[in-house]
Amino acid sequence: MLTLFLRAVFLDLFVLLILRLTGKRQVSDLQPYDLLMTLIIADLASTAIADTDIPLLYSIVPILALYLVQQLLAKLSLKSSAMRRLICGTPQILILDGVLQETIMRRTNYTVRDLLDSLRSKDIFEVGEVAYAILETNGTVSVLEKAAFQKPNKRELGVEPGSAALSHLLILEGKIQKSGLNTLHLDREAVETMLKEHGLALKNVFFAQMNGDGELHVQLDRTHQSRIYHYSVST
Amino acid sequence: MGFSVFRACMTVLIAIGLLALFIFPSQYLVRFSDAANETIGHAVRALFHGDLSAASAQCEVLARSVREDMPALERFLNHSDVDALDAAVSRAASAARLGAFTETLEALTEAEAILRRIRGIELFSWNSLL
Repeated sequence: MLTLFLRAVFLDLFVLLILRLTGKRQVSDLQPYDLLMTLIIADLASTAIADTDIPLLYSIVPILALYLVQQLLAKLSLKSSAMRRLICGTPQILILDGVLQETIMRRTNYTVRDLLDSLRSKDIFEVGEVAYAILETNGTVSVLEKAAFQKPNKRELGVEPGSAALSHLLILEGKIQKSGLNTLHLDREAVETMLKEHGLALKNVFFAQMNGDGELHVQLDRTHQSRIYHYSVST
Repeated sequence: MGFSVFRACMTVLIAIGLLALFIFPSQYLVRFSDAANETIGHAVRALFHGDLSAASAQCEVLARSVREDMPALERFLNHSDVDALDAAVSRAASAARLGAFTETLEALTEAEAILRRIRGIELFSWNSLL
């Protein structure tokens, strides 16, 4: 039993390392080939975990071989567009100027229902509003609406755009997060002072986030009814 | 940048590691199986010459060498194949000790067949590839 446990832990860490090395993080990032490789790796690992008759090398060698092939194909895809087309395929236009491209849809086995689903998930309910719908090589559909149906942006409306400042996690469960401090160029004392000024204690804060404009969002823990505060502070 | 360099280094190390795995285990297996086959040959010849004590001594040598090499063999061969080989040579040694000609010969032939199978799996050939 201990052997099974240790084999499982070892192979889990090994597969984790290999998947991190491949550089893909989400299933939605994966090309069909990458997804297939991930499934094969999982199957190879599970075989050696469950069957102690098999040496670990019987799983490790094929997994490493798949990793090397994947790296090789990735390099070739970067170097040559023909190779990329061969491995990943090419994006296909499913709707052109509001017209469904029947031939391409048949060739790609993409049904009208699938396409309507994809459009609805992008808040588009009329095929006639679409200038381009493109089936990407990872299976997602990108949509460009016709100019008349596109939402105007702040610049077009002449509205003050404000800043697009990213928020950073500052406090989590009463603990100051170093990465947030570094990004916002703050120190621990400054955060504690900031909280004190608003009558809050660090240990009572469940979650606090601050953006580059100095807007601080604080939520207290449940013993303080998860109260929420929003402050603008000068940093 | 840092991760790309790490990945490139890991990829090179993996390629070198795989290359080592293609070369060294097969060399080890060739050495081991050649020696085992030679001992089996000596034992069989002794059996056919009616020298049961010499055959028994060869079987003991074979059983000892398999037992010594088992941990190394199990790192890259299916454990059930290695166990079957160990069982066959142990049976040959016991049968030879008891002077049982047929059983000894049977067990030695089985050991030879197992050696041939594991060589076929581990050593590259177009037949085993397909």
